[in-house]
Amino acid sequence: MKNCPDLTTIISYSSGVLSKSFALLISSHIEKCGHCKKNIDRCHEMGGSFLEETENTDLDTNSYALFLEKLEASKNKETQISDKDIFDKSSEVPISLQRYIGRDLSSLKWSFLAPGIKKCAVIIDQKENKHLTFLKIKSNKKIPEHSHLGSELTLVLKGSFDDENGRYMAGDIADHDHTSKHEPIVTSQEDCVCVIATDGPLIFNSFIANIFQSIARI
Amino acid sequence: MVEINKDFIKKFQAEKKKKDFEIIFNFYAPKIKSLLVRNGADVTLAEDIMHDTMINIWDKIHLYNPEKGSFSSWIYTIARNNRIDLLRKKSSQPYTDISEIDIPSDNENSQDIVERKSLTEQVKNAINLLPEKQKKVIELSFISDMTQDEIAVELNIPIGTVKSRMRLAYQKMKDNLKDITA
Repeated sequence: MKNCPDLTTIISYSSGVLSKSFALLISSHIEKCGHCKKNIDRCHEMGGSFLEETENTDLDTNSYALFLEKLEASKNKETQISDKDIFDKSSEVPISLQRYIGRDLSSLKWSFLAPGIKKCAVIIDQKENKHLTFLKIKSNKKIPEHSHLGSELTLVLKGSFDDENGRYMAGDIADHDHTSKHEPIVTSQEDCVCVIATDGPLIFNSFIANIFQSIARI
Repeated sequence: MVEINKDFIKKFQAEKKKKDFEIIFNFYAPKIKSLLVRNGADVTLAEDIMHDTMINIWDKIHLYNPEKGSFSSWIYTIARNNRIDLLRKKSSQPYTDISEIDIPSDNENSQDIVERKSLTEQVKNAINLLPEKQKKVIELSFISDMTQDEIAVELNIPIGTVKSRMRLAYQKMKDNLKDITA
């Protein structure tokens, strides 16, 4: 994998402090990136080490007996279907996203955003009204130059795009924070499909682009 | 006192006896609860989440593979996911994690295998060798459950400094691990 998330994003993923949308994109990337998986493994070892070092707190009286009661009760509950039961490793949709959009990108319901650009917002957490934004962009189309108030992760699912930092192919992640500014352009012959997670609004550098933003809501 | 080592876990995976699980419970449950309380859960909620975590560990024990990491790091990831789902109550769906999916890491070699023999102990030593400022940002992330923005506020430093200390800490930890295992 050529473009990976920043190491600090990997560390935050491992410690569990990333928002759900960011965590989903990171886990999607790791499915195909042995380099980042190894970094995550090392971070998890740090977590395990911190856990072992943590001072003990007193448990409630009969805590283990109560645990055994809960364990028995849990055996009677309906087994939840895990990602492992439903995923399709051969799909172009990462396993981590299949729970939300299924196994086929063509099942997404695209709507017009701008000439050559379609979008689809997928709710990933109804309680919190959190969503991921999928974009389908035609060859040679540009997303207007923008910077960020917060962070932005973009995962390429199909096709490729270029920006000031290089070329991003399927599986690559562009990890931008408030210090970066970029103007992605699709370089693949086929449409580029990518998914974006943000924790702050994008700041577009032109009036027209700001209109684009108000429609796109990204 | 029975040591929770590879042989013990292998035996538990094969036999799944409650008396053996009690040893795992007695070692990890007070630590898991302690982390939850430190991160703001009241003791009743912390006890509940700890119980849920221990149930997950019981249910998923067959998925643990010692060749892929230490037992403590595996428990850590389960405890972390429960903490996110139940303590924060931010998700209507369980936290998605890759830990149950078999994804290979890059370049498994003899060095990696050596590393795993007593990995947790080595990582502990490597972390203890970190400069205090670098160790602090890692602790705040892993123990205090703080985002990079929250760490910046807590330490009154720019977020860029948080990131650079995190990167340095990770790199140093990795280097320290190599020195320890050399």
